[in-house]
Amino acid sequence: MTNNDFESVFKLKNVSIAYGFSKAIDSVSFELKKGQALGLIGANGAGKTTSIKALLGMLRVKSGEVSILGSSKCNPQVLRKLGFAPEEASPPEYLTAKEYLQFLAKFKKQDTLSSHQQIEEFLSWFELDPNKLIRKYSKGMRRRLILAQAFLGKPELIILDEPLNGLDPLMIQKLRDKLKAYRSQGTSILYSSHILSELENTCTDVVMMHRGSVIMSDSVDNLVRQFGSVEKAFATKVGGT
Amino acid sequence: MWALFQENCRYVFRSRMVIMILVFSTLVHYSGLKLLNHLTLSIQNVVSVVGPNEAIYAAHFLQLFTSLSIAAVFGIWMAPYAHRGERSLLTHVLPLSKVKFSFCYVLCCVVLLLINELVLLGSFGVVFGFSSLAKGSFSLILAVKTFAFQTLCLEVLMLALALSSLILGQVTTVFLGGSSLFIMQVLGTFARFFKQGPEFSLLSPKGLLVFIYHKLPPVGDFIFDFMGVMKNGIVPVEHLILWMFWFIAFNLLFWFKVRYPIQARSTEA
Repeated sequence: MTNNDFESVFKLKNVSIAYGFSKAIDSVSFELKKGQALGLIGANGAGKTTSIKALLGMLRVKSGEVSILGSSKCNPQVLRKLGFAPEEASPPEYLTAKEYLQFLAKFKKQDTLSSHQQIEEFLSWFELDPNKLIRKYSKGMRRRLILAQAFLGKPELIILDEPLNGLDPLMIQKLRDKLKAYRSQGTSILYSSHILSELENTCTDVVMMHRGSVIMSDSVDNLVRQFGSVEKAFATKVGGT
Repeated sequence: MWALFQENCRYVFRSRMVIMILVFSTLVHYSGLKLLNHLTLSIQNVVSVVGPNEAIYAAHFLQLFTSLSIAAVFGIWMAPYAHRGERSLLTHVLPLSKVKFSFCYVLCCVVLLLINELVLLGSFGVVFGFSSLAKGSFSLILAVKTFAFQTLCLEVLMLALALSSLILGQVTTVFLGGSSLFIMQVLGTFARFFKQGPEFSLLSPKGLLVFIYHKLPPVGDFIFDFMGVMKNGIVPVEHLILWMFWFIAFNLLFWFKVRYPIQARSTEA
C-alpha cells in the first residue's frame, strides 16, 4: 500500500556510517510514510540497528541526509512524538516500573490524568508488577517494560528493534494486535526483526538489508505475490547475492 | 529539568549514597573534632589548647577530604550511570536537551556537598557548642565563600571524572584521576617555586610546559587558595577564572559526549 501522496514520517537518503575503518551501512536510503508499518529485515550485522541509531541521532552521520518528523535533527520536539524500544536496553534499576513510566510521562506533555490512566492501563496490559523494583525483574518483564515505554503518550512514530526477543507467544499475539490498533489510529511504525513471518503479519512494507546496504524495498503484498512469502523473498534475494 | 533532577536525587538516595555520606562524614568530622578538642599543643614549652577558633579551620580541611571523596564517587559512578552502555539508548531518547544532564549532575553534587558541610557544622556544634560557631573569627560569610569556592573546584573534578569514566571506564578513571591529582599537586609546588625563580622562554620545552600548566585547572594551588579564602575570603582572580573556564569547558564536553551515546564505552568496568 505504498502511496506517494502520504506525508513522509522519516527519510534516510544515502546515509553511510563507519565504526572505525569498517563501514556499518553504506549509502542507505529508505522512507516511512504516515500510517505505514515498515519492516526492516536482514541477517545479523546487516545494518538494521545502525540505521535506526542514525535515524535517532545516536550516531554522527558523516554523509547522507536524515529527516524525521519534519526535522533534520532528532531534537527534543521530535523525540516527544516518538516511542523507541531498543533491542537491548536496561531501564534504571533503582525504580519500580510505575515510577519509571511516570518519569517518562512527564516529558510527553500529556495531562496528568490521561498519563496516569495510560500508565495504569499499560502496567496491567503488559502484565507488569507496578511496585517491584526493576532490578528484581526477569528478562521477559524488562522486555515488556521497554515495550510499554515505547507506547507511552500518543507517539506519531513507534520504532521497535527486535521487539519479540524474550516475549512469550501470548504476548507476541497481544503486541501484534496493539500495533494494528495503533496503526489504525494513524501511528507509523518501524519494525526491525529477523522473524520474517511476524513482519508479514504486522507490516505493510519491507526494506531488506544485507551487509550494510538496502537490497530491496517493496510492499508486503507485492513480495507475497511475487515470491509466495517475505521469507522466500529474503532467501531468494540474500541467497542470490 | 526538574523531573530529571528529582530522578537523579532518587537514584542518589536509593543507591544509599546519602546514608553513606551521613555515616562517613559524621564519623570523620565528629571523631576528628573530638580529637582536636582534647588536643594540647606544646611548642617550645608554650602549652596551648586547641579551641573552637582553630578547630573550625582544621575541620574544614577534614571536610575537604570527605567532599573530595563524594565528588569522586559521584563523578565516577553516579553521573555516568544513565549514559553507560545499553542504558544510554533509553536516556538518549528522553525528549530533553542533552545539556541539561550535566547541569542536573552539577546541582545534585552541590546538594551532596551541602549535606557534607551541614554534617561538619553539626559535628562542630555538638563538640564545641553551637554558640561557638557565631563567636569565632570564622564568620558565616567566610563559610559561604569557602563552600562556594570549594564547590566550584570539586564540580570541575566531578565533571572531569564523569567524562573520563564515560570514555575510559571506571577502573581506569580511579587510577588516572588519582595520579593526575598527585602530579598536579607536585607541579603546583614546583610552579610556586619557579614563580620566584628564573623565567623560561615560551619557546623552550620547560617554558612551554610551564605555560600549559598555567592554563590547566590550578589544582596544585588549590590548598593555598583554600587557606586564603578561609582566612580572608579572597581567591586570586586568575585562578577563579581558570576554574570557571574549566567548569564551562567540562560541561560542554560532557554535553558533547552524551549527544552521541554510541561512542560511549559500553562496559560497566
